[in-house]
Amino acid sequence: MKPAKLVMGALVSALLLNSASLWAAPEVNLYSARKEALIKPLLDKFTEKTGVKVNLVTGKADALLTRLKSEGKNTPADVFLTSDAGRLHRAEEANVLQAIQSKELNASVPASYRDPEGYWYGLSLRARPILYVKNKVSPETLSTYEALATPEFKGKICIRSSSNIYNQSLVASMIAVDGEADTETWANGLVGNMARPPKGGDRDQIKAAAAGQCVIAVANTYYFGKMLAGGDAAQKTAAEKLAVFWPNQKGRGTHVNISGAGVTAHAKNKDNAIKLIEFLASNDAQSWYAQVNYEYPVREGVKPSNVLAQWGSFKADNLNLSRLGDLNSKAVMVMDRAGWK
Amino acid sequence: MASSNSDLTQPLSPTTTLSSARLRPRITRSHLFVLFLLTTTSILALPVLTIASFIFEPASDVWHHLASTVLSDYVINSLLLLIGVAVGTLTMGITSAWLTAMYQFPGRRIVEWALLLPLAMPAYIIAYTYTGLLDFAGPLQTALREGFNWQYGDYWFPEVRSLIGAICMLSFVLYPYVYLLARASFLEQSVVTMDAARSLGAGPWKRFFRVALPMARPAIVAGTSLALMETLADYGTVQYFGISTFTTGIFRTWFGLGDQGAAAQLAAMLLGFVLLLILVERYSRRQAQYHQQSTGDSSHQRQPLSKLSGVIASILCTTPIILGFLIPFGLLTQWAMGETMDASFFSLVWNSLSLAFSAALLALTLAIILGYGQRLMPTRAVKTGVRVATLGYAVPGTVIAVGIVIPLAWIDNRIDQWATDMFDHSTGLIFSGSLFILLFAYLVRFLAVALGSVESGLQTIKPSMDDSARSLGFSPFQVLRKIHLPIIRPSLFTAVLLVFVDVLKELPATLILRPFNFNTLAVRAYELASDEQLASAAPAAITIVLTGLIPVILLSRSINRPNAGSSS
Amino acid sequence: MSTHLSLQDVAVRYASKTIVENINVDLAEGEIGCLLGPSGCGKTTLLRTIAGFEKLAAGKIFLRNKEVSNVARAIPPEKRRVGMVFQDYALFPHLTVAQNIAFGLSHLKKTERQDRVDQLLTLTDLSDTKTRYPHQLSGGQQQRIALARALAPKPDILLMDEPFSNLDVELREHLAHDIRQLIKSEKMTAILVTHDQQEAFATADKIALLNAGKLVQWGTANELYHQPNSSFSAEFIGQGVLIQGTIVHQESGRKSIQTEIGTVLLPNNFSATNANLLIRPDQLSIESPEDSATTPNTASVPVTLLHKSFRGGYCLCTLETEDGQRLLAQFPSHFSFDINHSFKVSINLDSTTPVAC
Repeated sequence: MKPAKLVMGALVSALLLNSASLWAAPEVNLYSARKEALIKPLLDKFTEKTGVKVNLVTGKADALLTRLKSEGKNTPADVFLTSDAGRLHRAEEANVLQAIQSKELNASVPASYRDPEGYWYGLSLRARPILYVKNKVSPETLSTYEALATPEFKGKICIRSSSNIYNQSLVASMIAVDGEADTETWANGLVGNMARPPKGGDRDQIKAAAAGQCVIAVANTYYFGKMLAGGDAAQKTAAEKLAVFWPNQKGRGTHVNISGAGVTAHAKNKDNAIKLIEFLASNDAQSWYAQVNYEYPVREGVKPSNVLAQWGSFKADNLNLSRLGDLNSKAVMVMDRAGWK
Repeated sequence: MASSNSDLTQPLSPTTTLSSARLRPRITRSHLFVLFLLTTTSILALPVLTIASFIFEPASDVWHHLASTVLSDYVINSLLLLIGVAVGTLTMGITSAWLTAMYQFPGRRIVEWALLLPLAMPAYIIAYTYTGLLDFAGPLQTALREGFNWQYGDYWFPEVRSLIGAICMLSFVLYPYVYLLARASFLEQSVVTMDAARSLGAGPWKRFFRVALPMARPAIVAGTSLALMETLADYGTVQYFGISTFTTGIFRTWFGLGDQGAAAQLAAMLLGFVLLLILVERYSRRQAQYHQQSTGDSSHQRQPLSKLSGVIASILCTTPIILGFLIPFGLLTQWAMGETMDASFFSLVWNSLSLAFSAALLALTLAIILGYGQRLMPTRAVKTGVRVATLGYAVPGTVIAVGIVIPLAWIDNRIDQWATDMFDHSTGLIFSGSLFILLFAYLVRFLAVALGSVESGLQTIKPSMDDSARSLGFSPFQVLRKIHLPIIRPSLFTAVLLVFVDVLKELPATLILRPFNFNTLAVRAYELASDEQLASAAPAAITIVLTGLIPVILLSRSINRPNAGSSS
Repeated sequence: MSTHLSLQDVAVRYASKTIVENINVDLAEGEIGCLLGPSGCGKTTLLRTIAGFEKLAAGKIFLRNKEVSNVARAIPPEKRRVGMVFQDYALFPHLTVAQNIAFGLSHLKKTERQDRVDQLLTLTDLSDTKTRYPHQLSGGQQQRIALARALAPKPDILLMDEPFSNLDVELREHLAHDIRQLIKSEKMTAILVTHDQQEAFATADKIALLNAGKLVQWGTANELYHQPNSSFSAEFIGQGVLIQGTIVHQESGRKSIQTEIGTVLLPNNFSATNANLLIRPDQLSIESPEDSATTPNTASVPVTLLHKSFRGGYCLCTLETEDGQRLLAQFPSHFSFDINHSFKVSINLDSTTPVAC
């Protein structure tokens, strides 16, 4: 039967394709929770520079982590890259990462953005400030995340669903400082102040605020940056109606999170793996993050993009980022109880 | 003359085949076949069972937390979503199927195939496009505000990103399943049976509701259950619309709360839903049978409609196409303007096509084996096995993927251990990270689609036909090849094309299981869309739709073929 | 008895192909009519036209003195109050026996409906199958359900399309009788379509013989058998042979038909210019010396036995005359001549039937 032959052919070629990847060299294999578009150009630069080929799989961080755990010592992955410190911490706890020593990395990545023992290194930084509609809110009325729960903001706030890691991290950072009970009270107040049930992504919150559905949005800096600088005229117009307010400047600082990477415990190409992480922390790569992705570089001395620069510098929360991972499930429960959809 | 009476004078019983097989001397062969069927279904059920096995982990605090906070939301929203999508797909699917099958009206020939177009549209893409269009910040509401100088709160506008919105989105793209199967069933129905109803005084409405509809029930149920299982598995749409359902709950519990056990318990509840649906349907059907008893005169003539009725019929049949295809496609096209496609785009298309095609053929082969196996050996064990093997359709792709990664990596590591001990040679991971595992995942996810189609095809063949072929000296395999497969060819074709389109759109499992450096159109479209870069996602989304169109058009041609001769 | 169903100059065409034409039939209330003819003669089409499924190309149909079909308009079947039993019964596979029977009774109250269903179940002796599904029943039971379903709404007329063709022979005769009783007891007017004359004889009061879309003869079974109006009627109904004859005018002014066997006087109203003589097998007997002389107008014909077929109560024999004319004869079953045996048969010419051609 013809179909049977085709199917067999497909199977055989599938197996061959798989094993073919085992022979090629030199290379480094990367499991990335960052989306292809946000990492591939850098990987290409790395290959260009070092001649080391990078094999890439992207996916959701936790799914990749499960894959890493299940594959055990036979895992093909050399580097695990995520867009959230909590996940890196979880990977470390699951024993799928190994500590590496690199003078170069220790020099380029500030201590607060890397694991003390070298299990993982932060590569780029994002902040989650408060955005407000310029002609409707005076920045003097804004102060802290905590203040967003006060009655004066009733029906004025747009923020996305609690299923999103950005909000989970934010709430985790608050639990770390304010404690679970106070954070829950805060979450209750915030839910009461929401202009609409949470929906959509960060850009949607900005758009809704620009359109008048609310006056305050909580969103990540790079989304706001991309809207301002991107090619979509409508998004640009919308974003231009808003401005950044850096909350908690008098206290712990504005909530930040990192994207980062670590070498896997059973990496077959450990040297190349370290080389790749070093490259991602290099001046070149760091300014790419800044210029193309509108993220803040972790490396000191690398300038953020013009768009980000115009919002001024800010004090970032210096909470140890691995705490975010520890407190993540607590944060979800707090939001569940508060009815944050 | 006397021989043709035999099937009518004795009750038609599906067990005739079985009992005759039992009387054959080579009794072990049928046992081996059952063993083979059960092994196949067990392998296919492995991921679902892996997930289900987490149920036995003791209920954690997380579970209590869920039960006391969000669980009722998950249950209620999922139920409402199911009910809504059922109503939506049934209304759109059956109305259009009935009209195009029974009546002649302007544009019938075009809508007949165009009604399938939304099949090519992934639900999350349509959700993004409609949100872009109808959202508060979207062009329509902005224009209204500017036009009438309204502010927020001055006017009422339906909220897209709501439960109703999600029901609409899912219904818009899932109704073709109902349409496809219901239409085929209406066309196959014996004209004589309808005549009988007419002679008993049944007008068009009664004929539709009391005769045609109940007789098409297996097909309609098959179509609706496909739509509902897709609904239960949907993540992209409900997540974007901020609706808490089982699927979003599973993700949240697994990844947000980091509790695999509780997430699996949720997934198990989801499976419970599906099983319940299946059981309710089975029970309500009881002994009723749907074989067409008459061979009758099958010449099928479409009744011409009056001018007004014709226009109404045209409108009714065009609306789903506009909503499910033209509007979102138009928006995507507009977004894609000015986007550039790089060279890697071609490899995306190739990857998507070759994967979808291989998966479709594999699924077909398995569906034939299982469908026919069930017919030959309708034992409880085989039937249960097949049902369990198709549960994967209702499970979100990510969950399936995890259910695959865990056991297969375990097997890989066992093999490697063994090889290292025996030959001092490491085999590495054989299955994990290969295309094989991806194809396996597609089978687990989409076998139900292929099987549904093959089963409904086989159902139209009377058991007596098997018996008569067997009595003419054909082996069961020969009967399959010479009798069943040629007769149900349209169903086989439908099976291949449906799986093809589904794999083309499949996202979460592909995302997790694919090998290094392997991307598909759906991955590209989703990564960009979920990063809120809708415009950049548009070219890939459009390509999915356009690629999906090819089989959809082929499919529509095949559904027209049987009656093409008689209608003109 | 008043005319219940009247077909006047009815014609049906598919595209340009004529299926039936010039059909004129009147059926009185309470009568059972039959459309009899070989397959493809248009009898089923005619039945479906009476039911309202087919359009008329010409003519009119009256049911209870109400025009139900003409070329321009036709009352649709669902409003015509016809009950129809289909060849393959067309029972609804998804409904139980009781639900099938109740299908046409939705205008009744629930209790009335149940009463009527029970009544019909009793009438058709199917009470114990009430809750079963059609596929669980035998062919004969299915047939009776189809009949009960058609009778349930008390239609103005019952139409049956080859109702016995899917049943075995034994069951067929038994049922044909039962069904006639049943229809009569319900005082129903009915039309049956069949290609089997035995069925027609057993069930119908009046038979319309059709051939190639035309009505050949309309009459009782007796009339059709004994007074066939054409060669087709003569050959289709019953057995026998037609012997070629010529019409001659006798001095008395009467006409007679002259054949090689003998001459037979024609009835006064016999108008055809050509005629044959129909000889039924039972009109032949083996000649014995004593009867040859006594019976008037009896032909004595020498024949040779070509073929014989034992039929239980009698023997059906093919004979050949010296001129090569074949004859069919029905002899007592103890008939013992061998093939090729020559002997003489006597034929009572007065009992034979002249048939116009």
